[in-house]
Amino acid sequence: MVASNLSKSFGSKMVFAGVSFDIEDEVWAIIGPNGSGKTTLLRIMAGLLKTSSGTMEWFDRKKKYEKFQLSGRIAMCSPDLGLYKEMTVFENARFFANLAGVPVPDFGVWGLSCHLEKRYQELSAGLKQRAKLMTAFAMARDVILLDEPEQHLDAEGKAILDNMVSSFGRLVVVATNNPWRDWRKIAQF
Amino acid sequence: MLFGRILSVLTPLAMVPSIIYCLMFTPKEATMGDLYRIIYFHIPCAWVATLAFFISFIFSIAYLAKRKAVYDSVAHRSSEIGLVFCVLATITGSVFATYTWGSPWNWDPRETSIVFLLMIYIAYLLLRWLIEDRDKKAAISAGYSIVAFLATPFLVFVMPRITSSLHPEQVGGLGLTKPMLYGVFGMLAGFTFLYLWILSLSQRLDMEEI
Amino acid sequence: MPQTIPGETGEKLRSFRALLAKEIKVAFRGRHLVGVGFGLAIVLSATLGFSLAGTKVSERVIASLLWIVVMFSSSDTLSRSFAKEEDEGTADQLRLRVPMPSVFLAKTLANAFFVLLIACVVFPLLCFWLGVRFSALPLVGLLVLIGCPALSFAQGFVGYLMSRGRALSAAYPVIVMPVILPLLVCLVLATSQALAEGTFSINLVVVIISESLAALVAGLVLVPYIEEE
Repeated sequence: MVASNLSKSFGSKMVFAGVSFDIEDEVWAIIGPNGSGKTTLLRIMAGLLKTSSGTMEWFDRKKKYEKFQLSGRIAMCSPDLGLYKEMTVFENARFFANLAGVPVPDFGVWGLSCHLEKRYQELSAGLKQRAKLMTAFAMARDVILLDEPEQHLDAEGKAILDNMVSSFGRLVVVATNNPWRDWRKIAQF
Repeated sequence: MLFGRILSVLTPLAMVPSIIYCLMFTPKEATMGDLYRIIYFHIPCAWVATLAFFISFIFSIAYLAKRKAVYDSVAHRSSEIGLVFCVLATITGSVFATYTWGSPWNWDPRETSIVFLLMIYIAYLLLRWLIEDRDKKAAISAGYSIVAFLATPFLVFVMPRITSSLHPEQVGGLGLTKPMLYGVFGMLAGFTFLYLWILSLSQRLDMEEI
Repeated sequence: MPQTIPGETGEKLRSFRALLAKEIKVAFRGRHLVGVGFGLAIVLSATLGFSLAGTKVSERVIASLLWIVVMFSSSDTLSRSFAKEEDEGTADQLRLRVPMPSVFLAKTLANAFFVLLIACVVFPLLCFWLGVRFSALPLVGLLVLIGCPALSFAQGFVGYLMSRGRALSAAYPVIVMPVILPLLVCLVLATSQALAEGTFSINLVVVIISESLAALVAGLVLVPYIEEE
């Protein structure tokens, strides 16, 4: 993933400017306080937002912006992204696994085995976060982008997350204001 | 800038002599007398409304393809001007209809079409007003304008075939003599320049804001 | 490297089927289709039936009422189906996995089914209360089968646009009405012909089908352009 001189503004409000990086399979962090543009940068990396200036290149393709190429290669977990509240944890996981063409994830790893039949809206905030992380990790093929992933998680949840992040083996980008490991930094806002 | 200056000269040059000619030098109509003279205003208004909506449609496509703010501004302003002329065409049409068909509104297919067009562009402006983010507003209203405009052929070509019309098929059907037609064409030119002039002025204001 | 490449026909079909099934599941478990869609259909039909009891209502009026009630009963379901995905952040999940035109198509098809279900409540009730002749019912049924998907196809793109702009979903009927008016007029004309004469002009059906398909295709073509943000 290569970015050169990215900037993003909404109307006249500049969020960030002059962000450049060249990252490969490893765990990277974007660190900064609330409102500093971490989420915006992650959304640009996911191809969900366009940059105001600068270029963003994904994988080995020298294409500026090709969302359909991106489809299914990047997974993301963010407070803005949700699951279907009317469907159960299992149905949500199966639905997204079907879309991504991957097997249904192992619920036991995330401590969700006894909540499979519960609707997503019935879960506590911490369990919701686990379900979202599980779905994201199950679908991630090349890149996983995590926005404040430790949010709402208890100590056990954080340990599972930590384990999954270090064993992912491809590119992981974590946006947080409270890094719990010493990762390499893309940007410190 | 230059375009605007040229239009500021062309518009009065075309409009003033045309108005004087139409009101004072064209003959009376055989059955309607002086009453028919409202068409010198009604037809150009309807024409400018159609032209403005078409320009808005074209610039909406251009905006989605190129994402340039100036295209969105033209599409937006053109639809606003089109709406004003559409209302003027409706009012003048109603006045004319009161004296010729006996009632200001008859749900004639052409009248129906104009109500649809008014509704489409009122909805378009409402949609713009409802969305705050400038880029989203531009892209979404462009999409709406394109889809809404696609519905108009059904109004213009299909509806008159489904229900009967009181409107003459074309301007010639009004029984206009040559001097009257010259008047109509003069007014058409004047109104077209006026539309382009207002468009260039409002668009310049928009660009200064951006 | 990816195990499966998005874009293969089998993959596309499978994800499309999953999208359709999800739409139906979410709509029936959510309270909007049942609570607002069917609820409005029954309340509006009963109100009209009661208000017009004992009066002679012309076929044109019956046809207008039928379609207007269907339109308003289904508008909440249609607008929410798109807006809900943006509000709850599931739209972005889908964006990362599948091309948005296929999401748009799945939603529009599922909505066609929901409008049909709502019409299945409205038409029998209103026909019964307004005293429609039994002999006219098969033709009216045929028009419902054609008209409901047509209404959904014609509205789909506007629903999508409003959700993208996070515009007030309460304004949906005002924004969508002008776009579907020609279609609605044709449906009313054909239905009133079916009620009065026991037949309807095939030209009207051609107009209804062609206009709704044109709107659907335009939507599919335009969605990727609106997506680029």
